[in-house]
Amino acid sequence: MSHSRKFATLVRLVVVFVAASSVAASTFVVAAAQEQSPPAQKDTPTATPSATPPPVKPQTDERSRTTGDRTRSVSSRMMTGSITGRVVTDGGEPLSNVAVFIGTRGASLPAVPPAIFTTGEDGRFRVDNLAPTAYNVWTFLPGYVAVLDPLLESGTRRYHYIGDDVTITLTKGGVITGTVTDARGEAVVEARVRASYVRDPEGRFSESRGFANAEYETDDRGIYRIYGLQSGSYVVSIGGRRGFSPYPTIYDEDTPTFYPSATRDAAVEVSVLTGQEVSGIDIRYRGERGRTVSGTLAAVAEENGAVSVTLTHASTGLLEGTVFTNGRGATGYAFSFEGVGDGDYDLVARHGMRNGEQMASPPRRITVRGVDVTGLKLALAPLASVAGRIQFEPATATTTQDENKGTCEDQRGGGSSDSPLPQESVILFRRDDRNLPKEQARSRMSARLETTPDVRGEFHMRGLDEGRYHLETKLPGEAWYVRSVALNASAPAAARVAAEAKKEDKGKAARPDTAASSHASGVSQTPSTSRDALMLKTGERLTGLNINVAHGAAALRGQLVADDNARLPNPSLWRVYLVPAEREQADNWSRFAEAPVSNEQAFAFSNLAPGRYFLLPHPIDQSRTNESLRPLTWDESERARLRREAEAANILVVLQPCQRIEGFALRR
Amino acid sequence: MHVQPGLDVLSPFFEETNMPALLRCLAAVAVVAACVFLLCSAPRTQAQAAPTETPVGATGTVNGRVTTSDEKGLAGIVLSLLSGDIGPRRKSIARATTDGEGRYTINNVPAGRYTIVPFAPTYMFGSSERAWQSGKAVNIAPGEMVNDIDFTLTRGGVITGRITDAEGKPVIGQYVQAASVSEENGVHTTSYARPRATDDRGIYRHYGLAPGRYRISVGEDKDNMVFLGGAGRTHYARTFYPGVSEESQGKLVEVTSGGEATGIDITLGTRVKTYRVEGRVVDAETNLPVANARIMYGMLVNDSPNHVGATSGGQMSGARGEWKLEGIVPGRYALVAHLDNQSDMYGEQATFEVTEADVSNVVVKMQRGTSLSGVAVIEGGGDQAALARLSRLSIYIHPFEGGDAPGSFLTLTGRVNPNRSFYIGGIRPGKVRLGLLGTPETKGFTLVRVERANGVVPPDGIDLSSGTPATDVRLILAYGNAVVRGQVRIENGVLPANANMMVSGRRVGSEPGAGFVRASRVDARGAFVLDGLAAGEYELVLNVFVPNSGQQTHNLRQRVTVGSSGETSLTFVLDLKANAEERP
Repeated sequence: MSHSRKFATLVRLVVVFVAASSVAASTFVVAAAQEQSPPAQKDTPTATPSATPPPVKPQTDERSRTTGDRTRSVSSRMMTGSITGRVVTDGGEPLSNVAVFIGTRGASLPAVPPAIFTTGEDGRFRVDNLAPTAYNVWTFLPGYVAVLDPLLESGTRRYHYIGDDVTITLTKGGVITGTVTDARGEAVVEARVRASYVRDPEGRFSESRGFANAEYETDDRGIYRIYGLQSGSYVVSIGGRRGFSPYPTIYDEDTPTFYPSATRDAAVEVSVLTGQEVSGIDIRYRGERGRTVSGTLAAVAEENGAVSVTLTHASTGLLEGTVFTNGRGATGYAFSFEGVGDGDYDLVARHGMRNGEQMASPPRRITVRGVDVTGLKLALAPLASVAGRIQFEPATATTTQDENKGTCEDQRGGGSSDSPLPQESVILFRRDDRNLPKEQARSRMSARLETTPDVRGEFHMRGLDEGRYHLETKLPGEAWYVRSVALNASAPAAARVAAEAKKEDKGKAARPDTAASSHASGVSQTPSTSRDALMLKTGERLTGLNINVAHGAAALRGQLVADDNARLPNPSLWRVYLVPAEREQADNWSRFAEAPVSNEQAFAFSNLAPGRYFLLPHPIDQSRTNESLRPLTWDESERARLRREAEAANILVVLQPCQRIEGFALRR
Repeated sequence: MHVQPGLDVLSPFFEETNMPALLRCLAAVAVVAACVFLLCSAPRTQAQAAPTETPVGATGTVNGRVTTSDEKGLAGIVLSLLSGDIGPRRKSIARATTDGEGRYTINNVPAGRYTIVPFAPTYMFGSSERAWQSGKAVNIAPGEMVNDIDFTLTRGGVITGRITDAEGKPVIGQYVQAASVSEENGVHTTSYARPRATDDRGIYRHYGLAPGRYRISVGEDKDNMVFLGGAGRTHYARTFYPGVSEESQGKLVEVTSGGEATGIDITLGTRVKTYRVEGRVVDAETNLPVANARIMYGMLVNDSPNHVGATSGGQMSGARGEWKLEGIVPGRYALVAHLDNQSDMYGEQATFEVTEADVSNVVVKMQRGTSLSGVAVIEGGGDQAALARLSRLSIYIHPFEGGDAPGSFLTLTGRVNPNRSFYIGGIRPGKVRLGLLGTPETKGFTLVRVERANGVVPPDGIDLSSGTPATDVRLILAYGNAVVRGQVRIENGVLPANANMMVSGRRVGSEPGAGFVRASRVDARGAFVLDGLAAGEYELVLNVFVPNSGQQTHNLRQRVTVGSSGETSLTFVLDLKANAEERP
C-alpha cells in the first residue's frame, strides 16, 4: 500500500507539471490552427482537448462538404439551436465513433477550445444549445481525411449555422513510406519522420504549409510509414526536435535531413493523393549537428503568461519549430531551438493574454552560419487591432419582374430572412505580404485571422501584425451582400489610412510595398477611392470600420466547358472571374469576384451585388507556384487587365436582385 | 536514448525524499507508464531545460567499448554524455560514435556527474529493461581520465502482428502493449515496453525487446488506463493475444534475442461506448460560477477515492463555470478544478461514476483556502552569492501524508521573492509540509528546518486545519559548496550486473523532513559525489537495489563532516558476505 501512496505523490507532482504546461498545449492548438482562435459568444459548450494530441492534420482537413436540407429549428433570435450531421465514408457508409469538433472563429474573447462530440452507430451527431454564430465543423479519425469541398478555394472554410444538417465525407488518407539509412547504409532506428504540407493538389504553395505535420517513427528496420495525409505535396524530413513527442531522441540536435538526402533548400517534394500509397521515399540521413538559436523575452505583460516562440525558415516559409515558455522555469522567459541548420530564419514571440489582447515581438530575421546564435532578445509589444461594425440594411421587397428571380427566402442561419443575425457573419483579415521586401522578416501568425461580431454587429479583431490586410466578409445564407466597407472618417486613424490611400493612388513606384491591390468579396470602399486594403502599423488600434450589408444578393453557378463541349483537362487549374460591366463600377474592386473550378468543372458565386457583370475564365499563373494562392483581384493592375480581357471576351450576365442563375455554361 | 520523460518532473523528489521508497516506486511500471502518458499530453518546454553544471577545473576524458555479448565490437553506436546522474532533467553534453572495434572516447568533459547512454534501440543493455537501465553513471573528477566504461548489448527481439476489428477492418492508431512477464524468486514482475501504435493497415511492431515471454494486449480496462480518456480515440475493451478478454487466458509470446515473432494478430471485440460528463465549477461560499479553472480528472484505482490513476484533462471551465468531458469510458473518477497559483481558492475533489449513460451536473466546488507566508533565511546570514541566489528558489507544499486525502492531488508551488519573502495561497486546511523544489537553483541549499514564531514546526508539518493563515513561517536554509567525493568498494562477491547503487545524505541534527541533500548514483567504477553541501555533519546512506527483485539488498550508513567548501573523501566498504546477513 505504501507503494500506492507514493504513486499518488508522484502523480500529484506530475499533475502540477501538466497544469503548467497545458497552457502551452492550448497555445499550440491555436498555433497549429494558424491562430484561428476563439468564439465570440458565451453559450458555446466547453470542450475536451484530447489528452494525447493527435498528429496535427493538414489544415485543409477542416473543410467539409455540406449537403442536405436545412431545417429551421430556431424561431426567436435569442434562442439557441442545434447543428446535426453525419459522418460517412466516400462510399456513403456511416462512420461511428468519430470525433466531431465544433468551433467558432471569433477573436473577440479569450480562446475557447472547440467542443468535441462523437458520432453514434448511425454516423450521426447532434449538438444542442448552440448560440447563433458561424461554426466550423471538422472531424478526427486516424487514417482518414475529409473530402475537400471542390467549390471552396484551397485553405478556406465552410461555415455552419444552427439549423444546419452537415454531412462530412471522409476518405482514407494518403500514405508516404520508405526506409531511412545512415551513411554506412545502416537502418536509422526510432527516428521521427515528418511530412510537412507544402503545396495543395494544384501545385500551389499552401498558406498553411509547415503547420501541417504528421510525424511517425522509423522501426528497427528503418522503415517509416506516414499515413492519413491530405492530397498535396509534402517535404519529408528527419532529425531535429520539431514535434511534441515527449521522448527525446538522439536525432533531436541534428539539423533535419530532407528527402532524399538534402538540406531544407534542396528538399524534393513528394506528391500524394488521398487513398494513394507512395512508397520508396527512402532517405539517406545526413546526421549533421545543428546549431542552437536561443535568447530571452522581454516585456511579457502578464506574470507567467504563456508565450510561444516560432522559428520559420525564411525562403520556404516552413515552420522550423515552436517552443513555449511561461516564465516559470529556472531560466525565466527564455527560449532555445536546437538542431537548426544553416540558413535565414524569422523569429517571432507571441503572447496571448487572458483578456484576449495579444502581444508579439516584431518579426526578426536571423542568419545561422555554422555557429550558434545566442543571446537574442525579443521584446513583446502590443499588436494592432481593428474594431468596427457590420450593419444590415432593412430588407426590401424585391420588385424585379424577371421570371428567373430568386426568392431570397433560402436563408441559412439563425436569423430569419429579413433580420439576419450579425453574429452569424465572419470577418476575415488576410495579410498580403507579396510586396514586402525579401529581406524583411514576417510573422506566420496573422496571415489569416477571423472574427465574429457580437449581437450588435460590433467586432474587434485583435492580434494583427503590422502589414497590409484585405478583408473578406462571409455572410449567412445567400440573401445578403456587402454593399460597402468604409472607415468612419471621424476616427483619427482613418485619416492616416486615407492619406496612405491617396499616396497609393498617385503612384506606387514611390512605395513599392504599398502598391495598390484589391480584392473581391468584401471590403471597403467609398466610391471615390480605390483603396482596397488596410495598412496597419505595429500596435495600431483602428476603429470605425463599417461594413454595410444589403438585401437582395444574387448568385451564379455553372460549369466551365471547353469550346467543343469536350472535357476540360485540369479544370482545377482555372479560375472564373466576375468583372463589373457597369462603367461606374469599373474601378470598384469589391465588385470583382474570383471562384475556383472543381474537377467536375463546376464553379459558384454567391452573395453578389445585383448588377451587370462580365464572366471570364482564366488559367492560374503557373509561373508563381512558389507563392501562396492569392486573389488576382487584390491588385489594381490585375483588375485592369481582367477588365480588358473580360470586355474583349464579352460574356455578359445581368444579375437581378435575389436572382439565382444555375447551370450557366461558360465556354473557355 | 530512452530517457523516461517522467523523471524530468520527478527529479525534485530525488533530491528531497528518501531514496529507497522512490526506487521501489520507480520500479513499478504502472507509475512510469502513467507518467509517460501524462507527458505525452504535455509539450516539452525546451526553454526550461536545465542549464548544465558549471565546469570546474581541468576537463576529463571518458572512454570505453560497446560490444555484443560475444565480445564483438559494435560499430556506429552513438553514445550520449548526459549531464546529471539521476532523472533526466539531463541534457546531452557530448556525443561519440563507436569505431570499427566498438571503441569510443569523449574528450573535454568538465568535472561533474554524468550518465553515458548508448543509443541502440534494437539492443538491450545487459538483460534489463531498456527504459531505466540504458545508461551508466559516471562521476568525473577534475582532469580525470575514466577508462573502460563498457557496454555489452544484446540484440532485442521483435513482436509484430495486425490488429483488426470484429468486421476484419484494420484498427488504426491504437496502442499495442507488450508486457514482459517474469518470475524470479517467487516474485512476479510485469514490465511494459514502450507502447507501439498500429498503422493504417492495423500493423504494429515492437522491437528491442529483451528475451522473455510477453503478454500482448490492446485496449483498456481499469488496470490499464495508460491510454484512457480523450475524445477522438476509439476505445476498445482490453483484449489479450490471441483474442481473449481474460488476462489469465492470454497466450504468452516467446521472444528470443534477435528473433522475430510474427503473426501476433488480435481481433478486437466491440468498441467501448464512451460517455459525456458535464458539470460546473462553483464558488462554495457564493455558489457563483468559477471561470477559467483547470479541470483535471483521473480514474480511481481500486475504487478508492484516495488513489487516482493516470490523470488527464487540462481544459478550463467556461464563463458560466461549465465544463464537459467527452469520450469517457465507464468507471469511477475523481475530478478536481484548479485555479492558477495566484488564486486563493482550492478545489474540492468531486467523484463521479460513468456506467451506461452520460453524466451531468457534476458540481466541483472551489473553497477559499488558507495561506502560508514568511521568509527564507540563510543560517549564519549567508554571503552575498548565497543571498543573491535565494530569490531563485522555488518552494512547494504538499499535504503531509495527505497524498491520499481526497481532493489533494495537486502540489502548490511558490517562489522566494527578491526581498526573501514567500507566499502560497489557496491551500486546503490541514497539515502541510514545505520543501525546496529541486531546480538547478537549489544546488548549494539545504533545508535545515521550518520555524514559526512559537518554535520549530513538528515533523507532521504546519497545521493549517483551522483555516487561519500562517504568516510567520521561517524557512531556515544552509548554504555551501562542499563536495564529498566517495568510492564504494565491494568485497567478497560481485553485485548482479543490473544492480543500482545510490548514495543519499542528510545533515545530522536536521528536523524531520529536512536536511536532505541531492543524492548521487554510484557509477560503474564505484565513484559517487555529493556536492553543494553546507558545512556540517552528514549521515550518508548507501543503498543497493536490484531491479525486478523488488528488494533493497543493502543499506550502509556512514558519517562525514564537511566545511563550507572544499572536498572530502569517503569510502564505503560493501562486504557482500557480511552485509548480506544484515538484510531485513
